[in-house]
Amino acid sequence: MWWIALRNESVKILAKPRSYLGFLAITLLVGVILLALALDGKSYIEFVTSSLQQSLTVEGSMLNGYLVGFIVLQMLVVHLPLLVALVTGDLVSGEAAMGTLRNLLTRPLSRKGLLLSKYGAAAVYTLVLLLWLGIMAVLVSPWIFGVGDLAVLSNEGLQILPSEEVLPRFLQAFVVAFAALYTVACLSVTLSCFADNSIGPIVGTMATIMVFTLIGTLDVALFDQVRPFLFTTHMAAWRSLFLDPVPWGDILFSMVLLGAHWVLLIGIGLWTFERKDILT
Amino acid sequence: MSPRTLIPPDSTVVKAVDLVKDYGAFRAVDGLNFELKAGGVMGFLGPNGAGKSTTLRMLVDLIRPSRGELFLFGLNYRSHRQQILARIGCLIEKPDFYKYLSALQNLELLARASGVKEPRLRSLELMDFVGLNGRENDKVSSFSHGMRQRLGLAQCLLHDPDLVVLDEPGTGLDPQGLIDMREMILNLNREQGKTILLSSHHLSEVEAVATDLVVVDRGRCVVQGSAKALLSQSERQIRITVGRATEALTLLNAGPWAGGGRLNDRGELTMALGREEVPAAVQFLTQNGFEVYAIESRQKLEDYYMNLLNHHQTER
Repeated sequence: MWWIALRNESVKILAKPRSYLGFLAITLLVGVILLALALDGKSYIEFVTSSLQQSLTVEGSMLNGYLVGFIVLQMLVVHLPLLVALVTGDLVSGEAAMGTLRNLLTRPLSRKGLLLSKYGAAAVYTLVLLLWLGIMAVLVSPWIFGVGDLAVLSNEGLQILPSEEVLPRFLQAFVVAFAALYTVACLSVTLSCFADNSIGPIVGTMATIMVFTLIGTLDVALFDQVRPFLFTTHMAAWRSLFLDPVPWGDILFSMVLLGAHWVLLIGIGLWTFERKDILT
Repeated sequence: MSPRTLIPPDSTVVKAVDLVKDYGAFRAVDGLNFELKAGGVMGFLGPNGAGKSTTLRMLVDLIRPSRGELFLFGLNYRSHRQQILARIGCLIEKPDFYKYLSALQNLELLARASGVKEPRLRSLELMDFVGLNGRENDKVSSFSHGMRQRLGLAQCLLHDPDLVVLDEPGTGLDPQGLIDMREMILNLNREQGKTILLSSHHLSEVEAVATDLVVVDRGRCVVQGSAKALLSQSERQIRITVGRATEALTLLNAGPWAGGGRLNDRGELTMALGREEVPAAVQFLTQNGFEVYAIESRQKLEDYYMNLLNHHQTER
């Protein structure tokens, strides 16, 4: 029955116009970035590497499809939580607001099963959205700009990754980015269990991200103990996969922590939904 | 659909025992007891705020009772939720659907969720039953309220339930729609053997189909029994269409029928009289110069219900 419920959830997401907003937004944003870099990419690279120009001589062009893909990812991973929350924050509360939750909950399937199918559908949607971003960043960018070694600025300075190493790192980075984005999806579905309108969970998710990000960036001793355990601290963990050597210990910690967030959020969602009175 | 055990006639389909539902400090249902036997059509009546909708939502496990026990087919939701819901179809409040999907897609989706083996076939069958054939592929957003109400009835029959719970199925329907809805309810009960629990403010519609009645007020059961028995216990009402009805009522109240008459909301004189008293009452009126245009003898649910609630609320 869980598969049937998951199929139903997917049918609904596919049929809802709101679901395509994310894909449209990604396409437009990536399009704008690609156009800007195609027209004035050299100036951008010069600006970014201006501090290194006295100690470094670059033969050829650093601007290639992989670098553009990396820039696209950096810019868009910031916006993706909103696009994910737009759809996943609506999965329970949107149905409550529409009154269709009544129809679903009077069917012979368990409340747990139904909610898990919604978490499942949220995972599928997050994955597909991320795949679309991946296609735009890793396939379209190299198609326009060509491929080459990837130059990445880090705390250590400028690191050059040979082109043959870049694609596997992108793939691994997408897995870590998915873990982070699915945490956002879980948060919004869970908040959705508490609300009877669509807007509340979406705003709640974004507000949580903003507050946690603020706590993570403020250099206050009080927050030092908390910071490593906030999921927002690990939202950019995917970037570590472009360092040399890759800090696998840090990445593993990020993945475990994000996974723990999934379990906690899904647990809270199930507990709440199982006891929720459907009054709409 | 999986084969099911047929319900023996007269077995108890619904049994509510001291059912209580609190919303914070507000008690919506206050120790409600009632039973519904298989094969009947129960009219579930009560004024606004009596606790009807809350009770119906508890019956289909949308809300959980604060106290008390609820048995459906002898089982309770704590241990047999899915088995119970497999045998109940419901239309609670208004029929809501995914507006961005077609009528058929909506039904198919719900049929799959109900475990129906051939969702498309069953959905088409039911669209035909509720008179929506030809509109299968239209988006629900283009449907009128009456069409949504019909679709609402179709969705609650998808898994061929034994018990159908209908909450205000006639709301917003035009006269033809009300007649069609009544016919469908009678068909479900008489031809398909389904037990029906019907909550409605359209008392004439309830009267036309109900075999049993439960009247609730302020979360408690005021009366329960067979519709026939309850209505026969009530006093026969004589409705007299008479010129100058207010003056006629004053005269009657001063005379031998003091307190027996009242004016209804259409300004007609209604009296609780025995059959043998009718000629004397008419003679009394005509002798006193009133013109009697029509006399109608009736035992209407509306009168019974209003008298019952007035009596109950006065007692409290």
